[in-house]
Amino acid sequence: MSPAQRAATRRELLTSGAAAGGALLAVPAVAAAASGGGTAASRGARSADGAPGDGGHLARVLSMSVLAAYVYEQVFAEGVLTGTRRRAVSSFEDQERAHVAELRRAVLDAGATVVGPPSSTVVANRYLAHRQIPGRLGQLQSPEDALDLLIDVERSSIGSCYVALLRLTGPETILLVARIMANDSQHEALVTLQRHALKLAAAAPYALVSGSH
Amino acid sequence: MVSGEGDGPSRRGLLGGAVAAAGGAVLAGCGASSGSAKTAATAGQTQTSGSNPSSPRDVALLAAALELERRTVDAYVACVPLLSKTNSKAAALWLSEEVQHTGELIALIRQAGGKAAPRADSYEIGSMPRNQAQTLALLASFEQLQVSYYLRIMPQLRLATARAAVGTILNCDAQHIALLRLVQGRPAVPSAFVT
Repeated sequence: MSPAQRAATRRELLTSGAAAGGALLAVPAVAAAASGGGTAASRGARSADGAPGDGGHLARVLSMSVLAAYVYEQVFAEGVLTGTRRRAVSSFEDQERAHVAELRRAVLDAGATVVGPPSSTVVANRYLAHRQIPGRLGQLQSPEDALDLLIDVERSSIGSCYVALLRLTGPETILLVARIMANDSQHEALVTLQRHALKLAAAAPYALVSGSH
Repeated sequence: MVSGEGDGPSRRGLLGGAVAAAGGAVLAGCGASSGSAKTAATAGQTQTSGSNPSSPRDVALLAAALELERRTVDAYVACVPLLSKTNSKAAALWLSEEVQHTGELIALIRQAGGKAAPRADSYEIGSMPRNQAQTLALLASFEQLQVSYYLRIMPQLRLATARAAVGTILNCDAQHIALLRLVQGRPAVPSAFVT
């Protein structure tokens, strides 16, 4: 197994690379940024000095994105989130899948190894625990439990992007991760709004949003 | 600066209060976020793009962002009194967050080796909105300008810590846009990729 593969499997599930939850959505290509940045080596899975390159950093963002898409799918399948609350966040599952599709493409372009969805809720719960997310799939007792889990997952997704932005060098990958991170921040606000009885001021209470990391 | 009812001392008073409140928060090291307490500018994290933290290009990019944020602050100050009770309560919070963004950007400019320009006496925000819908639309337009600008400059910033810190501001503004869309009766999060 290559160093890049070991890096990917250290904390994440590594499967055949199928995207989470079914068909991938077509998404617009990320526009090339105006300035250059990053060497060819640093845009790969590993840089010349052996540290993870852009591909390795993107793979970590992808692993969290895959988990987020899986959690949305399972939360909806469990049926604890219903009515207007469900409708308010129903499009987020597809948006998470779109993130997975675009990140997967970027990881492959960078020559790194892609990750697939968890093989079961037990495995997913292990990943949630690893990321210090307290909610567990299959144990959601109320809509509040479901919303809390989704909020924590979104914050972890934002955090994975934030950490990546401290390391990425390629303009295109930076832009991709920034656009995904901002979208996950919107998800966080909208899910939080459902959690707090639609009190608008409670939905975006922080001036600087960097997620959990 | 817009003209009309609501101009003058009360608006300046609101701005002054918000600036004071947000400034206090910044000075107290309250770079709050959803789950972590500090951002790059306040936490002094290790640079990953070169050993010299000075970057004139970053200073120029961040200075333009600061002017955008200051203009948005003026827009909120003008618009908050025109909103319904529920919306104005949220918008007042968002105003304080925009003020905190100016503080963060000033810190980032300093970190990049520059010095922020003084705040102008006033900023052009266009025609005064006449109703709730126009007010929300005006605020959304300023938020959108900021989001678009941050997405444009993030790949160009040399300092990785500045890039990540700008990302935390981008996230907040993206949330504002989504919530403004929601109260406008539009789809709050229409795309998987913020533009």
